[in-house]
Amino acid sequence: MYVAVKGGEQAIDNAHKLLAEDRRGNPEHPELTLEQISEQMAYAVDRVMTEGSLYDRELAALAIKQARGDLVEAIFLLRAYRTTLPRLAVTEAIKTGEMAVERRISATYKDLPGGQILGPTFDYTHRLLDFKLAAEGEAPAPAERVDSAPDATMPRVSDFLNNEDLIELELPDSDETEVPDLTRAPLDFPADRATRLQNLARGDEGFLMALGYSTQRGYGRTHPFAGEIRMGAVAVEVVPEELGFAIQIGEITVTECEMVNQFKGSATSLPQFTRGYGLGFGHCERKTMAMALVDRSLRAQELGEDADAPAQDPEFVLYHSDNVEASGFVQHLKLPHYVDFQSELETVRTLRSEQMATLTKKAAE
Amino acid sequence: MTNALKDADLAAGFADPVMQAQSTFRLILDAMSRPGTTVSCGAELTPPASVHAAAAAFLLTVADFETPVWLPASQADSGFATWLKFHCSCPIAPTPDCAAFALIDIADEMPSMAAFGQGTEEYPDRATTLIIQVDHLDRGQNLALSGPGIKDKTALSVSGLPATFWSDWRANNTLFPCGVDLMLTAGTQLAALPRTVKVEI
Amino acid sequence: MNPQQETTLSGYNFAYLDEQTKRMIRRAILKAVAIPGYQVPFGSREMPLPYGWGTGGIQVTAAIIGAQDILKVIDQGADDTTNAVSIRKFFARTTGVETTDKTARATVIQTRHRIPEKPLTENQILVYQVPTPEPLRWLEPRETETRRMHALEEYGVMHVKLYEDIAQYGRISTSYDYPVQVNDRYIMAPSPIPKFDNPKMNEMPALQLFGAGREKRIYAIPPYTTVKSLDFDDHPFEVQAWDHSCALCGADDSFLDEVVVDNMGSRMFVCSDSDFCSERREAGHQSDGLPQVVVAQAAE
Repeated sequence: MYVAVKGGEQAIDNAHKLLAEDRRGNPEHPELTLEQISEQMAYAVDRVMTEGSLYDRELAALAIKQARGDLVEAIFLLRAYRTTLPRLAVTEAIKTGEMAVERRISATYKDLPGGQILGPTFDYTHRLLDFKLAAEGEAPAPAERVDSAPDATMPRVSDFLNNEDLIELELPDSDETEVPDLTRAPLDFPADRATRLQNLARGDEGFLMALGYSTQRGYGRTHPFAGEIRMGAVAVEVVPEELGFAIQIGEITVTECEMVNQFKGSATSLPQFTRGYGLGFGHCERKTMAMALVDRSLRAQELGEDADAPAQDPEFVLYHSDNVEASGFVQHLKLPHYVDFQSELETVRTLRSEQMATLTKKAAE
Repeated sequence: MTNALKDADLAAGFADPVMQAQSTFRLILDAMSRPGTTVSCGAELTPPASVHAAAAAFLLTVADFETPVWLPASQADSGFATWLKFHCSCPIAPTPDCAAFALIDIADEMPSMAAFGQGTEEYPDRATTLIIQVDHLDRGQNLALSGPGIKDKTALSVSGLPATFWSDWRANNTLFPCGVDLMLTAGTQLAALPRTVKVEI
Repeated sequence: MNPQQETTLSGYNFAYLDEQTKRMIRRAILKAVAIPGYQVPFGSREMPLPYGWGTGGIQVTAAIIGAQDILKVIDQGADDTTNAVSIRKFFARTTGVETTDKTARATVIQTRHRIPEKPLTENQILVYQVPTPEPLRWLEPRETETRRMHALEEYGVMHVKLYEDIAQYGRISTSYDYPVQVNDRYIMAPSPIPKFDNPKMNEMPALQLFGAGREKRIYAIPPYTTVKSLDFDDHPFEVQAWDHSCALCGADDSFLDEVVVDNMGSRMFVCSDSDFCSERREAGHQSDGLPQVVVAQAAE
């Protein structure tokens, strides 16, 4: 006699044990430390912090370790933890113009005040597997560094364009404007630019890269120039109510990308370049460049451009950018759907037998 | 300010905020789901005079820094406004139409229901919930209620509401899905009238 | 392992969510009840379970549940499906409330894809996990558009869609998540319950709450509210029926799951509602437990 399947609870417990065992791998090899991950897998940590919306290298490293290197899973772990944290204060806007720059490049000017600083980059490496690393190579010889804290602040490319009125002005919101928080209020349309940028900063790097790429191939072209990409440390400040002035509470490393895009003008206004903006935690150039492309594309409507490409559609982009949401919903298909499937099965059987009967009857006639 | 704050300190909120907010919410939810049902809440509270225990319990349960609360002029500088800010940290709404909640005593002059937030056709949830303090919820005018949450019809007795109140309510009905929702309180008693409820006198 | 560590989750608030989040959800629930069938946007939080696993239902349950409640969690009608087990454990650990398999004993029932067979009472709340709260989504992918359609009560497209089914197949082919109209106003997605369960929603004595975490919407049907499955005069709404009864308890009025029992594809039908089935069997209802559709072994 058939006995209904039971034992979900025990199966789950066993699955968790297997997972823990598998995660550790062969215990003969040393266990990864969080320091090893945050020092030697720094880009993975940066991505998890950016899309996890939480700047904490140690927790991000822990998430990566726990997720066995699955970065989307690590982002999910960090986000779920982040939700439980109290929101103590809103910081002042960071000043990337006052960044302690480690890398700064512009594709629009050959040279400019502050110079081009290549910094640590894969850009001009030859992608040859380095077998010395496999043999647990020694520490690399130290590189020559420029003074990482230049005397003066390094002006941004957009400042030069601003001075000539060649690019649209971007004025900071007034201090009274409340900063939207997508983690506390649902997305609503039309979404303002601050909300869109917040969504893109949290958005999946792969999704943004594909969308950005699509605009370069003609699905909503925006004529981008990488005006400037800079990476380095910036101060984080808050204004405590009892003090009334800003105090520094820490320092974070960020990557910023300012795209200079398609100019526009009309009979009444002189032609000016437009902008796309990207910002992320740590060193994340690909992400911030893709973000800047998509940010600019999403401005199509406000700039009076045709908006018929996927990257120009705010609802399409913003509702599908989040990899924690997407990963969950794609994978939820493996949860039981017996009941829905049974319903479909009955429908298909009924439709088939009805149609079969009609055909048989027709054939008989 | 310091005196008012002292009063507010004396008049405590929930002793066990987590569990009492939960149990009060379930009573409110029951009242809202079954219009005409009277529930009892806030008995353990001693809010400033002129505010019903049930009204205080309701606000402690659902109001916070995200929900502007409108108070009539007579309450604006009262100990209750201080109590509310102290326990719920909610801003006081400058005008009725931007309030998430409004506390009104029938002794006060009540603005018309239409003066409060009605929500929009696309977001009818963005409407004000009015907490109206009446004399009694177990005697007075006999009302027959019908609508969602009510099997056929149910009875509710209310005393202290002005005659124009129910014509206002019928006008509110016609705005559906927009329109305000009501919480009626008398001491520790609370009954809810969501915008869907039809009232016959 | 220390059994105490296993049973309680220290460092978290009762029912996991912080109080501010609960208040926000509670306000959304009250508005949802006031506007039956209307989807209230809410600030859905990132839960420790993935989106798609019931984060909306979990947040609704967490906002309403109290120490006195008795919780039942079902998925596909059964208490012991893996995700139901996982969610029940989550609440047992974060609230310490009593849990039960018995429909009649539960005060709060969280469900995915089914309504229990046993009629619910005024003392119960049914919380649905909802993947896609927007019934018009398959016809119009844009939220701004569907919101306007609801505002203007512009539901023609839904009727056109159902009628196209009839033109193509001779009947409405939707068999689950079958759209309903609540209190003669809002068209609402009942979540992917089979249409077999739709009639149970109408005039139900229990309060019905719906939570969609990923889509950040909460909606509700108050008790004793009209819930009508959409249909046409010449094609009235009808529910599924089986040629078989439950192979375990013999019930001929419950929703049946099909179980494949051998490599040839022989199959039997058993109640999807595990509590309903076991209660019947305890009351002495029995069937032979044999496959009802036997596919013969092909000749060697």
